[in-house]
Amino acid sequence: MEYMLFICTDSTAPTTEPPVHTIEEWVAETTDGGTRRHGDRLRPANDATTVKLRGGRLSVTAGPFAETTEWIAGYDVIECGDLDAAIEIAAKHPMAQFGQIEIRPMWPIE
Amino acid sequence: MRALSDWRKSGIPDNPGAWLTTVAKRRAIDLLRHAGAEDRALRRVAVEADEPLEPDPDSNADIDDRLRLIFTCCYPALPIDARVALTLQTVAGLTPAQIARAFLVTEPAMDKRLVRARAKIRHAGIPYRVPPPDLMPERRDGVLAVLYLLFTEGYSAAGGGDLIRVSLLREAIRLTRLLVELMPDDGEVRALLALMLLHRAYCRSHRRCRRCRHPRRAGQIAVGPGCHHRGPHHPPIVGTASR
Repeated sequence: MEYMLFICTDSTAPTTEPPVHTIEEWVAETTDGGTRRHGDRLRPANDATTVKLRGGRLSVTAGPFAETTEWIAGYDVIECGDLDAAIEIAAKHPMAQFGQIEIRPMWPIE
Repeated sequence: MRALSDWRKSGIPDNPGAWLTTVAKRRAIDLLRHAGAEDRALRRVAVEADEPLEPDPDSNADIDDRLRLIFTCCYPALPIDARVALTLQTVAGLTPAQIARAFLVTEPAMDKRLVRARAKIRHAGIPYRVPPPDLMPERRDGVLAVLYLLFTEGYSAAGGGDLIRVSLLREAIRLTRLLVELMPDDGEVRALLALMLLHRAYCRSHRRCRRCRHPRRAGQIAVGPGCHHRGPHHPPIVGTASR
């Protein structure tokens, strides 16, 4: 199955703990194992632009589509057997410790 | 039992004998259906989980299937209320209408909850299996939490005489017994069953003294017949007269 991992911030997460896993380890492990398809960091929500077409008129606004205290800081697309495997992979990402990760199954257009 | 509660409401029927036979027959059919529901539910979830059921050569196949079913229904990525409802539907064989009444929501609301949970099992790739040893302690605790929640729902209703919700108490104990059968070496599961049985003993003794109908105090457990009768709620000097 294919899953998207949304790597998100979390203002309640600890900041002073030593990291259990580093991002280099995680990227190396998931890339070598063939589970990670692609992924990257994203510029902060401040750099976001939101586009809407309403009644034929284009609206372009600065900022993210929803004003929240947390934002998506990166993403990864992984391929693995089931949700247990996806949880295991997400748990090793350093942002599981310093932020939070949302796992969403892909819904391919057939 | 049914006669006592129904006749009090609607009066004694024209032919009480026939009424009793019919009701008893229907009740027996209900019980048989209840037993069959477990097997059917297992097949349904197995099919929906999109994973082929590998036939197990040894006789543990049935045990494994039921364990898989319980662990899938109690998967931590499902909302807790959905875990409880799914377990009641697929493992205990309750209908959505019964579950809805027990949790004081409408039937369409409960239906929606169950449909969403099933969809998530399918779409999110929730595995249909007993978790591997490294995940077991955590997942087992999740299953026990669902069973205990079921039990407390029933327990808190037990005093009010709400029969539908009291049946949750019975189901919780039945499912925990099943889990003890399926995982006989697990101390935590046995401990939960012991806790439930102890609470139920309190709950029963909490009702009324069989002989004098005086409400019993919490904490008096029935050890043998009639022992409450000498309990502190009923000082011997008062006797058994009209109390």
